[in-house]
Amino acid sequence: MRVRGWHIDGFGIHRDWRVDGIGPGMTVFHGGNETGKTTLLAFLRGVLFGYPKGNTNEPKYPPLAGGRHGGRVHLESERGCFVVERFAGRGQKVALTLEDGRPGTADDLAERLGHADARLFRNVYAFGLGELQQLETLGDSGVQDHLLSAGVTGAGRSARQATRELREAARELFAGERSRKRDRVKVLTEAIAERRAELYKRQEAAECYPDLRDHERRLAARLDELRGESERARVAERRARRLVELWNEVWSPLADMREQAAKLAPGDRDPLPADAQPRFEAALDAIRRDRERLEAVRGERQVLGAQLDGLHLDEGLRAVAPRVEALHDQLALHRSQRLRLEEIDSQRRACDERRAAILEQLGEGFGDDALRGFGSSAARSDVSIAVRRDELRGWKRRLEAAREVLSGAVAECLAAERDAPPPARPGALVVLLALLAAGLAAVAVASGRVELLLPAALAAGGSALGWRSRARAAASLRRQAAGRRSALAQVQREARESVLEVERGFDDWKRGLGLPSHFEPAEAADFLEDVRRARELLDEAGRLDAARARVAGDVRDWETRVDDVLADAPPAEPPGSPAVADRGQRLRALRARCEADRAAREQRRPLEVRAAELRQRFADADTAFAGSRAVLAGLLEECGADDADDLQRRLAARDQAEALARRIAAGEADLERRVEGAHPDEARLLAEELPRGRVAEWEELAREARARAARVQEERDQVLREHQDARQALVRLEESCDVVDLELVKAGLEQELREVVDEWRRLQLSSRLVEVALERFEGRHQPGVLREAGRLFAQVTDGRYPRIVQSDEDAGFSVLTADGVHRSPRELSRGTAEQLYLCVRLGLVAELSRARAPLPVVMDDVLVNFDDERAAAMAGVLATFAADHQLFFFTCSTRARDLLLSAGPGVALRSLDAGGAAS
Amino acid sequence: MSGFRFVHAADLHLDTPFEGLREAAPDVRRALRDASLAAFDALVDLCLEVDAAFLLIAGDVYDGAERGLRAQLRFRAGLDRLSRAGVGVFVVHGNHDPTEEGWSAIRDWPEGTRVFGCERVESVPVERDGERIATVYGISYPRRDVHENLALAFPRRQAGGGEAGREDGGLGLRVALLHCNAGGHAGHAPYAACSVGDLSGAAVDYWALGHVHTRQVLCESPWIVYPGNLQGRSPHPGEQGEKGAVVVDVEGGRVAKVGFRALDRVRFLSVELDVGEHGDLGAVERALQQRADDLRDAHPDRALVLGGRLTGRSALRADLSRAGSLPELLESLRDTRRGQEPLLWWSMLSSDVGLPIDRDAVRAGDDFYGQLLALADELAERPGELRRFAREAFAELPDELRGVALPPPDDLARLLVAAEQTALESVGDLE
Repeated sequence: MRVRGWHIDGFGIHRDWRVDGIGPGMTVFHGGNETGKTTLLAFLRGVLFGYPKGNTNEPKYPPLAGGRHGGRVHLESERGCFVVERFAGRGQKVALTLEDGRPGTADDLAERLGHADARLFRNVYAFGLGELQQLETLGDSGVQDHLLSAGVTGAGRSARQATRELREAARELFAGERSRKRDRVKVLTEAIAERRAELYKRQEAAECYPDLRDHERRLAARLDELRGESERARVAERRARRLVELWNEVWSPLADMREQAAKLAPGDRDPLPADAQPRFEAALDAIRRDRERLEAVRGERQVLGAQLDGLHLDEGLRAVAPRVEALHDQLALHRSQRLRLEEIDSQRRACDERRAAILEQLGEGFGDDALRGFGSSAARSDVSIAVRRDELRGWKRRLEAAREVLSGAVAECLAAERDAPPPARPGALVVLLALLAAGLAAVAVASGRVELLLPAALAAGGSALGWRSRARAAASLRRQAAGRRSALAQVQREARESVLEVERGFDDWKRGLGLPSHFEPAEAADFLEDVRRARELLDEAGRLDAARARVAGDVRDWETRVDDVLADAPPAEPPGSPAVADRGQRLRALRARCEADRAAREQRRPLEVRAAELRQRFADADTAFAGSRAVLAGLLEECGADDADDLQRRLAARDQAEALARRIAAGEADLERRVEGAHPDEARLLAEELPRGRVAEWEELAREARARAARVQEERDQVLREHQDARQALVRLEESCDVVDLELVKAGLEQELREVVDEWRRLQLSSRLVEVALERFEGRHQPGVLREAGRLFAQVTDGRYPRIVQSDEDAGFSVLTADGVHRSPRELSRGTAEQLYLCVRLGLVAELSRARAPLPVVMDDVLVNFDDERAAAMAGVLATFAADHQLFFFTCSTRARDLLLSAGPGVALRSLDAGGAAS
Repeated sequence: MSGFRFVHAADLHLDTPFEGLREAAPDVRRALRDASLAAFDALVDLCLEVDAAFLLIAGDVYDGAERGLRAQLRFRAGLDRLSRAGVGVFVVHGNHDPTEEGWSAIRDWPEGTRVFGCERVESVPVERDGERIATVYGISYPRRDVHENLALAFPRRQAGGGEAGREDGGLGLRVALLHCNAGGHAGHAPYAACSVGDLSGAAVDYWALGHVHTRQVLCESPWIVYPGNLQGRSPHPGEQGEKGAVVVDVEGGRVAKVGFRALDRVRFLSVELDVGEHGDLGAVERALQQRADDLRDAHPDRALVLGGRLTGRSALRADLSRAGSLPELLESLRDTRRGQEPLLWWSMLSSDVGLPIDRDAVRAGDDFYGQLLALADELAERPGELRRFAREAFAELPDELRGVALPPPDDLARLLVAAEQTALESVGDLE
């Protein structure tokens, strides 16, 4: 693959720089400083393999003269021409135009670039003086993989990378003793150590088992000893206490009883009959029993007498009881009648009030008598009122008819006045007088007061005379109208007369009834209605009075009878008690007394029967009591006793002596039994010791034995606890699975450790296999590279360094002097070292070109540190190299330019201008 | 002489810490914890059942010098039972429980129990019904690492092939009790190492040996017998299968029959499966379960601890190499068996499945892969070189881990195969 040309859109100082037609072989780009040679080198690297990322320190060459940051490179391979275009910026997407014009992919580009990467290209193919001077660029593992181990890689992963990954995986398991990394081996080793320490502790505890068992046995033996001591102390205490107990409970009481028995021995009196005691007791029992019976009957009689005394009887009550009962039966009726009286009184008052109100409306002086006499022509007041009403309606109709006629006449007159021809204009005073006269006339007619007509007529006439004198000229025309008015006035007068006549009749009618004269018919009708209502109330009052008189009579009759029976009954209230006024209450109280008296009579009847029975029983008991006393007296005489007490004392003394004898016998038997119940030796000891009576000594012995037993018990408790602890510890040890469990856990951890170590070994062994295989592989393949590099280096150094050989140091190689001495690259002069590195690169490029697509080689002023001789030799080497590889040589040196141009015939020259252009 | 029986057991390793097991569930741990003691109880039962005249225990009663108290008391209780039944017990100590190391919770032995000392070979006559039926010889280890040939310390046959004991008269069956590595057994420490010839040269009719955990009869005249250990201790090959004791019938003063009786409570077995014919991990799991079912049927009354190993070349290697893949498969296998009685426990599952490649073809290539396989073959063919190579690779291991880190030759060879596959896998795709 070779570069045919490029187009820089914008990159550093370059702007829209197009170059084409670059041929194979070497092309020298010559230009002074700041003509963009290094920039061009960066451009070619960037387009083919990507521009430096923003976070690197590498120069980015932003476009200083404008344009888009980047451009394209025209390339040619065996398949034809293709174009790679790349611009800086996010993603740096590369655009590949294939030989057939189709767009290509990143894989297509990688294939055309021989799967070289940016690092390889920078370190081997396109480098400047800086890269050339750095040995590390050749020592880079990626370069080493690609150069010295070409062919090793598979599926994109290098053997060295595999080694690193295997080592890293191994480090996760075990990172080495000195590493601080807590790898799995360390974790497991620590865990095992912890378990081991724990096991050691447990085993140590287990190894105490024999000692612990001996200790437990010693404690058990001591327990047995203490148990014996305790038992002995308890026996001693028990014996001493038994002596004290026997002495106190048996021996000492026996002695006392024997002494008492001696005192109770009978004197010289006759002995009592053998059955004296039961007979005496029987007699006493009989007396006691008969006395008790007598007293019982007496008591019953007293109780009964008290009961009878408590039941009082009253004959007076018994006599009035029927009347009381009858009156009590009427008590409810009496109450309702009293209520009726109150109701009638209330109704009566309401009736009077309403009537008085009507009478007040009818007018002063209109009282009950006027009411009763109103309209007296009729047989019944209500009938007379009805007649008056009919009369009133007749008057009303007549009045209305007459007034209607009059008003018609007046209306016609007024119409005739309006229809008359206009009179001469009278003066204002005349008109006023005429109107006044007309008004007076009208009032006179309406009211029937004729006396008023004269002044009216005079006024009218005066006015007419005045007016006629002033309107004589129109008299003839108005004469006809006057005639008509005259006729109408006549009619009007007649009508007025008729009204007056009717009104006079009506007034007479009102006067006849006593009605006010100014009453119109409506008012008269209201008057008549009030009279009617007042009369009805008057009648109602009469009826209520009659009813009240009847009820009041019944009430008085019941009360009289009650008063009588209360008076007949015996007085009941205790003196000083407040008198009860209410007859009902008093009657009820009397009735209660009658009821109580009746109940007492019923209770007393069986008690009286019972009293008779008790009288008989009392007599019988009294007889028996006397008999009992007689029996006792006989017994006393038989025994020669002074009285019952004397006999009692003698009998008691005899019983006490007999009881003492029995107790002495029992005590002796108890003593014998107690002593015989003990062990024979103990019994013998007790029998010997007891008579000595050393109670205080025995008690002291008991206290001492008890204290000793307590001490032994205390020690025994302590030993028992220790023994139990020891026993439990033994059992715990015997039953413990701790050790074996821990062993199992430890064994599991150890197995895990073995597995981890096994895995680590596998990884280590794998890593080592790859390493050694790689070394061997490199051993076989590396000489080709170094042989070619050595040949070139010998040529450049004119045989001073004939060979380059492998080395474990530096980048993996060193030089051999003509004397056979190894020289590390770092031991060479700067110029010589640069010559060596350049030759190694040329060798590597040659080796790589056998297996992959060739790439153009770009060098940026790498001859500056060469002396003239070696520079010329290197120019020759490069010219020869360029026969098979495209080579761009950027230089500002005229010497270098000339050397290269003169080194071979096919070397092309392109000069660079200061502005970044080319020619 | 009337006939009798005796029982020969060895390597009881009471309260033994099981090796090679991790992540055991509680019920499994409980079963393992009690297994060695239960096996010993079964040994006592066996003696009573067969009316044994005596019991021989050929060393390693306990697993370590730090012998557990529980084990000692259980051992003592078993001896008590045998003593009460009139069964004699003869014990020698081996490298795991030497007499001068460790401690003893037992200060006195039951009547009829004889523990041989370590200074010289002792002999004890055995009588039954007033008749001497046997003479038992024995010697214990004073310490763990006994390198003397103790077999030579036993009475030797007289020149000419005569049996001294019989000629001297009335010794009965001559039984020798010894803990040793007879015949150079690999995998066992060479303590008291001796040859079969050394043993045959002694005036002994029955060599009751211990130390080798695999049951075997080295010779029948005289009888030289390893009964194997009483209870398997790990998934390792020598610990797998039936474990127990031998019952020896003696008729007319000669061994008439040597029969084995399994007494183990937990049995270790291995399952190896070639995954080449299985398409996915589900099929692999089903095949493993089927194997487990078969083993369950074959050992119906024992708790089983199974160790699985996957082999073959298969594309499943990629699945199996995925982190967590094998543990998940193992957990699935365990889940299926959880709670079953008798117990069946998958203790581990390992994969030696190789890459699905034509190894010879890759080996023949001139590329890096060929170089890698050539190196592996070279190491495999030269064990010494392999050990040196491994020692360099494992040099970082601390001293305390170096012992477990450098495995025996067989394991190292297997490790090399695994490492080779890992290396190929790590470098890249060979397809």
